Amino acid sequence: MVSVKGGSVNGENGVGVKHYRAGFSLFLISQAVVFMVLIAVRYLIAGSKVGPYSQSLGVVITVVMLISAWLAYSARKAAEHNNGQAIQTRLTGAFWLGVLAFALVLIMWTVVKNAGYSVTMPSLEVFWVGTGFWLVYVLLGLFLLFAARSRGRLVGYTPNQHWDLEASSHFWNLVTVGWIALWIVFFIL
Amino acid sequence: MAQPLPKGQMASMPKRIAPWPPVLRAFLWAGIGFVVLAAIAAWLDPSPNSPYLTAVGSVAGWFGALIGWLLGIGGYDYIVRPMMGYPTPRVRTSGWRRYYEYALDHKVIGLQYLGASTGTFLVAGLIAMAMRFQLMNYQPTLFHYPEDYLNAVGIHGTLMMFTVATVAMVGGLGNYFVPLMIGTRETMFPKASGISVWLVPIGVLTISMSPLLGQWSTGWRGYEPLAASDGSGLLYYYLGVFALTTSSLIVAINLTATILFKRTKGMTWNRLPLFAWGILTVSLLNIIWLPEIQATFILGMLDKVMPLNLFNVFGQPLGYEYLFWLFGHPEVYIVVIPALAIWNEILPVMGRKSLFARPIAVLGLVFVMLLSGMVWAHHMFTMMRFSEMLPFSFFTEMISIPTGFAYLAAIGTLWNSRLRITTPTLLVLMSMFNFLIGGLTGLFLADVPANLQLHNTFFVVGHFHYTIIGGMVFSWMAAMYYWLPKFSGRTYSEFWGKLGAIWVFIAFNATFLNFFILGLHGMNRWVSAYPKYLQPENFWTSIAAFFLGAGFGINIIHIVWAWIKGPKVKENPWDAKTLEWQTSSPPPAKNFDVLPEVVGSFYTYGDNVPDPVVIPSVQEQTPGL
Repeated sequence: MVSVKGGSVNGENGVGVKHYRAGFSLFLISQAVVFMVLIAVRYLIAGSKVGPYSQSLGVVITVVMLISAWLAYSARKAAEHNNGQAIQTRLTGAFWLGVLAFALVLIMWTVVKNAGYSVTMPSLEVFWVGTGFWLVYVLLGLFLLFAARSRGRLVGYTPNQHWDLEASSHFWNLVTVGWIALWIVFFIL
Repeated sequence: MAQPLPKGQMASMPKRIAPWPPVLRAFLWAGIGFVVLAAIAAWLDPSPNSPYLTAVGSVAGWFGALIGWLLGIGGYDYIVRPMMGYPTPRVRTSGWRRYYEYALDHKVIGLQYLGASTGTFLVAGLIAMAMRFQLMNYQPTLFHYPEDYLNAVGIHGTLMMFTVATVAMVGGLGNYFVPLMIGTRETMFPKASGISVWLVPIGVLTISMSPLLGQWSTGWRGYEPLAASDGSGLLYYYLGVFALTTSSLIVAINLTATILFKRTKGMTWNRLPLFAWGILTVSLLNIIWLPEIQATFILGMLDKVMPLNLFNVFGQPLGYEYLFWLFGHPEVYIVVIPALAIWNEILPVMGRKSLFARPIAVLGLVFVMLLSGMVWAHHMFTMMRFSEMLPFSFFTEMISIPTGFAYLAAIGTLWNSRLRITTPTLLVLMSMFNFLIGGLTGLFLADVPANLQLHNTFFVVGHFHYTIIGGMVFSWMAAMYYWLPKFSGRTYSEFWGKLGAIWVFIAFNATFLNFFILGLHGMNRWVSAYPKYLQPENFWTSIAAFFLGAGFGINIIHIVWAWIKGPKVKENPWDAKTLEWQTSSPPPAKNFDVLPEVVGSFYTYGDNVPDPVVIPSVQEQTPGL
C-alpha cells in the first residue's frame, strides 16, 4: 500500500493518489478546451459586443458559485481531518448552491427572452450556447457532488481514503472556473 | 472515478448480478431512455408537423438512449452505484461472454475495440465498394440521386475516420499492448475504460442509421453552410461522432495516465517502447483536439435544432471550417503516428539489428505532434489571402522533416541487417512505400499554386488514402500479424499472409495511383456523375478497388482462422525483447506473475548484449513475504 497525503491505494508500480489526481487533471484539461472553444466562438460570432443580459444576476451567480466551490473544497479538507459531519454539511451546501446557480441562469434566460430582444442577436446567440454548455457541466457536477455525499453516508471517508470526494470537488472547481471565465468574457470584456 | 480496491477486498465483492445479457438490457434501457426524453422534448417543444418526433426530440431522445445504453451495459452496476457507496459486483473474467459485457481487463477491452473497428471497417469498406460501383459509369446507376451518393461518401468517411483510423491502433492495440509493454497489470482508469468501448457501437449505429432521419451531403466534415440545407440526419452525424470521440478521449486520458504513472521499475523514458511513445504522443493530441471538435459539432448541431445563426449564411460559415480543420489536420497525425511507431517496433526485431537513432525516432513522433496543430489551414487555401497562406504552407512542408525521422530510423535499421522477410516485415515495408507516396503528394498540396489547381479533385482523395490506408491500415495489418502469436498463442500461414499482403499492396496501388491521374485529368470529388471521357479510367479503378476489397477480406479471414485454428507456436516466436513477450501467450489475466524490471534497451542487438529484462523473485518484489 502506498500512502500519500489525500489517500492511499493499491500501489502497483508505486502508484498513489497523487497519480490519480494527475491523471484526473488530464480530464479537466481536456474539458477546459471546451470552454476555450466557447470563448473563441464568442469573438468569432459576436466580436467583443456585450449582450443585454443582467449584469447583476451575473455577479450573483459568480458569488454563489464561488461559495459553492469553497464549500466543496472545504468538504475535502474536512475529510482530511476525518470530520464526517462537516463533509455532509458542506457537500449539501455546495450541492444546493449549485442548484441555485443553475436556476439563476435559467431565470436570466427568461428575463432576456422576455425583454423583447431578437433571439438571433449575435451577442445573445453566443450567450445561449455558452451558458447552455455550462449548465450541462453543472448537471454533471451536481450528480458528482450528490454521489460523493451518498458515498460519504454509506461508506464514509477517512483521511487516507477519500479520492471520490476529492475528484468530485476538483470537477466542481472546473465548473466554477468555467463560469468565471464565461462571466469575464461575456459580461465584462 | 472510484479508486481500485485493495486485493484482499476483491474476494468479498458480491457476485455478478446478470439476470439477462447486458447487451439486451442496454438495448431495452436505451429504448426507454429514448422514448422518455423524446416525449419530454415533444411536450416542451410541440411541433405542428410531427406530434411524435421533432428534431429537438430526436436529439434529446438520442441522449436518453445513450445514457440508457451505458447504464444498461454496466455503467449502473459498476460505476454509478459504486460511486454512491454501494458494492461493486464482480466482473466476468473468463469465457467468451466477457467480450460482450462490461470488462475491466485492458486486454478484453482492447479486443472489444479491435472487434468494433474491424466490423466497422468491413461495413465502411462495403460502402466504398458501392461508391466505386457507381463510379464505373459516368451516369447515375446505383445511386439515382446525388444526395444518395454523397450520403454514402459521408458515412464511409465518418466511420473510417472515427471508428477505424482513430480507434483500431489506439483503442484496440493501445489498450491491449501498452500495459503489457510498460510492465503493469492494469490501466490507470479501468472502470472508465470498460465503459468507453461501449460508446463505439452506439456511435456506429447512430451514424449508419442517420439517413433515416434525412440525407446529409457534407461528407465526414459537416461543412457549413452546406450543412444548413441538409436533412435532420446530419444531427445524428454530429451525435454519432460525439459518442465515438468521447470513447477515444477516455482512451487517451487512460493510456496517457497509464504510461506516465504505471511504468514498471527501470522503464525510463529512454527505454519506453516506440509503440508506447506513439500512443503517448497521439493521446496528448487527442486530449487537446477531441474536445475541440466535440464542442464544434455540438455547436453545429444546436445551430440546426435551435433558431440560431452561428455558422449558416447569416453567421460565420468560415468559422466552422476554421474550427473543423483545427482538429481535422491533427486528426491525420492522430491516425498516422502509431503507424510510424509500429514500423520501428517491428523492424529491429525482424532485422535482429539495433534500432538506428532511437532518440531521433522518438523526437520525430514528438515533433510531428507539436507541428500538427500549425498546418490546418492548408485545407482552406482556396478561401484565404496569400499572406495567410505562407505560414501554413511553410509548416506543412516542415512537418515532413520530423515525419522523415521515422524513415531515417527505419532505413538506418534496415541497412546491413539480416532482415527476415515475414508477413509483418512485408507489410511494414509496403506501409513505408505507401506513406512515402502520400507524403510526397502532400508536398504538392502544401504548395499553394498546385493546391489551387488540385483542390477538390481526386488527387486529394488519392493523397489522403495513401496516408490513411497506405500508412495506417497497412501498419495495423502488420501489427496484427506480428502480435497474432501474442493474442492467441497461434500463428498464421506465411504463404497466405504474404499472398494477402502482396494482393492488397498491388490492388491498393492500382486503385489509388489512378486517383492521382484521375484528379490531374479533372475528376472532381463529391460527384456521382462526371464527364464521359473519364469513364474508362474510372472503370478500371473500380475493378482494382474490388480486388482491394477482396484482398482485405482474405486477410481478415486468414487472421481469424489463424487466431482460432492456426498452428500453435512458442511464446516468443520473433525473439523480441519488449515486455509483452516476457509473459505467456495469450497473457494471463493479470499479465505478469511478478512485475518485470527493465535494465537495458529493448532495441539493442548484437553479440554479448545482456537481456534488458530481469524478473525479480516474488520475495524481492513483495517485501514482508
